[in-house]
Amino acid sequence: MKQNIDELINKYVDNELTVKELEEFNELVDGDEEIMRKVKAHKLVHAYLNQTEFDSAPTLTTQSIMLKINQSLSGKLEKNYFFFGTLGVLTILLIGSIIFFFTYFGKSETKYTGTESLITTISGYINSFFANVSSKFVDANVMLIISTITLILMLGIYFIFESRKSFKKKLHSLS
Amino acid sequence: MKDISEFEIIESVKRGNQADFSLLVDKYKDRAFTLLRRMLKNDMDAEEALMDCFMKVYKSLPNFRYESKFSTWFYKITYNTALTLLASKKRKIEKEMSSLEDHFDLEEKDDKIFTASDNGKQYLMKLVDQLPPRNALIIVLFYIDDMSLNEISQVLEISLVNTKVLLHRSRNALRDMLLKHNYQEELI
Repeated sequence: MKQNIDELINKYVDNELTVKELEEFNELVDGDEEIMRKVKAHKLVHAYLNQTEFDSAPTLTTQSIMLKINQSLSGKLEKNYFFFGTLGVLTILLIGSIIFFFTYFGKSETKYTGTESLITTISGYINSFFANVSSKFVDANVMLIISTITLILMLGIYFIFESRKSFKKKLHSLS
Repeated sequence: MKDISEFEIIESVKRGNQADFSLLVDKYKDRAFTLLRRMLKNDMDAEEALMDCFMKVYKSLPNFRYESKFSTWFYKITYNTALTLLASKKRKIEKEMSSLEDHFDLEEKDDKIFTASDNGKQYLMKLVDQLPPRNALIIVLFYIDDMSLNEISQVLEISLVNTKVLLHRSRNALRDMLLKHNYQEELI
């Protein structure tokens, strides 16, 4: 019964009772002091909650959010710069190698004409290039020097980017 | 100055005018903060969640396809952000409907709340702060935001019937506390 009354009161407050149900409900309320008290309290809850307004968000919320968005966007751009920068350097290196390869190793080769001759020329270049390079890399000392230089260069690039990143972080925390 | 509609703001942000997002923040920051405060019961957590919530909204905005109202979609993100924070703080939270059966006891801190309140309205608002997260959320969305039960059910991802049950239980609990202190006599 209690559950039914609670349900009826909720329906009453939400204006969900039909005319017939409303008549029955009014009769029920008029004849019972306890239900009357409940209805009054329920109406009061409804009324007070309806008067409630929004809390104010802390000042500078909008600015803080927009700053965070800007930072996340600039972070993305920075990453893109790094990616395109690395890609650019690699492309330049590749183009440079090709030019070097054709100018240095191609001098001694015979000139051909036509598509087939061109393929023969390129395969000749490649063969002579690898023959020259492999003859130089047979020497263990040369290999050691090249590996050391590569390692130093890679470490150097890594530390330069890391220090730049931490510097930027410090700059942001100061601003 | 002509008012810019929510649709126009969203489309503008989608086109890449990120500065226009501040218009959405201005419109929704108080609503979201109210909700988060009631759910998290802590101003600092609410502020943290508010930032997270708007960042998520900004990142997800390109995927918003108007399948529901923007406010419903926004509150869904707000609600889930609060749940994530609550879960990360290892507070007890039940997302499933079984939590409807959970018993919440407003009597626990009643003496303290009653003593600190000057009138029924103050007392009631302090009680709302004591409600479990989902009950508090439904009260805020239904009464302060004027959202329909259907929209609230979408935010909570539960059925309409269960949403109604949740609202009724919350209201009944608040009513019983007002009755306990005879506040119903304040009703004119």
